[in-house]
Amino acid sequence: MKRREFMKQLEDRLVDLSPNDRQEALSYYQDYLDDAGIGMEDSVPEEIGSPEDISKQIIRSILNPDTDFMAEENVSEKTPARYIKVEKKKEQKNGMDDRNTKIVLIVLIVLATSPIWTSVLGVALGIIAADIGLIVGGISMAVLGISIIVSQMAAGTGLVVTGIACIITAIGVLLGAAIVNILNVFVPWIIGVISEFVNGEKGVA
Amino acid sequence: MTFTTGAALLDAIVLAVVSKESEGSYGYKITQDVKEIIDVSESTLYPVLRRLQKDDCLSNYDRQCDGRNRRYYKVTERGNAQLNLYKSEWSDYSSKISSLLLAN
Repeated sequence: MKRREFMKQLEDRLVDLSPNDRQEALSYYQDYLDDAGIGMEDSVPEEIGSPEDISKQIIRSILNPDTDFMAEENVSEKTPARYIKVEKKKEQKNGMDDRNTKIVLIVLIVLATSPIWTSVLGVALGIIAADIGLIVGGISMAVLGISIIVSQMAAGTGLVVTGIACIITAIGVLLGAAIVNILNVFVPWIIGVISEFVNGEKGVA
Repeated sequence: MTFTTGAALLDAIVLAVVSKESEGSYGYKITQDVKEIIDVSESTLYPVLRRLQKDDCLSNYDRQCDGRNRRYYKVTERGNAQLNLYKSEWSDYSSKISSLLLAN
């Protein structure tokens, strides 16, 4: 394309730069093309690059000042595939070692904190036992209540006993449901946290 | 071009090319001189020159010639120090590789 068109396209593509940055870049290329002896109506040689390439490189170097970029043309075609594979293997191997270390770490933590979690477990089991007691006790009390009604014909007493028994059973059942719900959430969560920690990423070994 | 030229080596080459000229050098000439040494994509050089300026390794001044402006780049003191560092690193690096690859 002609220099006039080249410079116009370059200017358009650099529109997002600060006025200073843009002006410096455009001046550089005006100077460059002057020194190369290319006039406004002359064709710009391909080796200088396209406005698209040039602007991309300029913008990238401004946005990522630490970009390590290569000098040669078509670098991506020449990057040996071999090199990339070696890197992947290294990552995997490190992953396995990391995993084993983490497993050992978890076992140690579990052992070290055992006084804490064993007592928590004890309390939890106690609560569950008490809950079972409520339900079982409640049911047997209900049976007792009914038998009072039937055998002693003391309807009033029997009804009271049965009624209280139902309430106790109900409390037991509700508590039981709550415990089950909590466990349903808590147990998978703990397992999830541990396996995420060990595996490094969700679902990836 | 089998071996890729990374950013550091490119910086070194550009600094060396500019420092050869007592009054500094300008974009077009720097590009041609560098192209004699390595197979460089011309569009790469402006970002390099810009970065070297930002890092205070190059300074610039404008010179009028033939009724137009031409921007010259010169190596600063810091640029010189950096270039000397690159020279000794290169000497070390290349001699080790040469003695391996070129032995016998």
